[in-house]
Amino acid sequence: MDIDERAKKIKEWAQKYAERKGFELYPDERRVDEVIKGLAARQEKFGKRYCPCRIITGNEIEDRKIICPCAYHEEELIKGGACHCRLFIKKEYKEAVRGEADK
Amino acid sequence: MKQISNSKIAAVIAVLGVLSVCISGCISQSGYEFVGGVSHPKEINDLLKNGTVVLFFWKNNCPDCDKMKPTLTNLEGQYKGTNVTIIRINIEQNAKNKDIGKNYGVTATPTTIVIRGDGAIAKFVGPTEENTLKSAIEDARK
Repeated sequence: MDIDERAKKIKEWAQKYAERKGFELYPDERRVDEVIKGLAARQEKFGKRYCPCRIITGNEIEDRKIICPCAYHEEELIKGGACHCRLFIKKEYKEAVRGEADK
Repeated sequence: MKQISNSKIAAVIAVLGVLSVCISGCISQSGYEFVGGVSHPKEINDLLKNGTVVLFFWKNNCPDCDKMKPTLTNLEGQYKGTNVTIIRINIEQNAKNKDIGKNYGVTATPTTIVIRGDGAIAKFVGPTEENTLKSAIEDARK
């Protein structure tokens, strides 16, 4: 599977996941695509969908926590409206960041 | 009803006043703290003898890292020739960089760490405004 196809599948999964959890994808599509591309690259290299903005430690138990959707995303969404990678966002925050995304 | 004397009220006000000064003082330190388990590598310790060190941890495929690079470039320009050393570290480039990140408890990128001359650190995880970093650097230089 090439990287673009992998990215396409991850994006489809992310959209479905967000819908199921009552989240949305971050309103900046370019950013979402960059994060998805990072996820696809890591999946291709390491076999797992590790968050592109987190550090792989080499400790399997620890690293399981950073496979997207990571162990931290729900708490981050509650606290700040979006996950650290800014792939997922709470619906009520979407309008607030849309302006920023358009800059 | 038991009467509270004026001197007791004055004492309470004085204590509250001292506390408020202390609290505002602590906040103005931009969150600098000595972190247990962190020992600065020799190269950084040598730089700290002359002033402040800023470590910017980044990696490839990290959109916020790319977004922060112009901020770093600006700060590098502003502090060129001063006692502030700004170091960019690609945390995934090699084992040494990864170890430096581990030493400072870096788990996500971008992370910016400002280290004061006495070794205390202020840590900023995620995209951080230029003014916030500048203010932390200036606090470190006081």
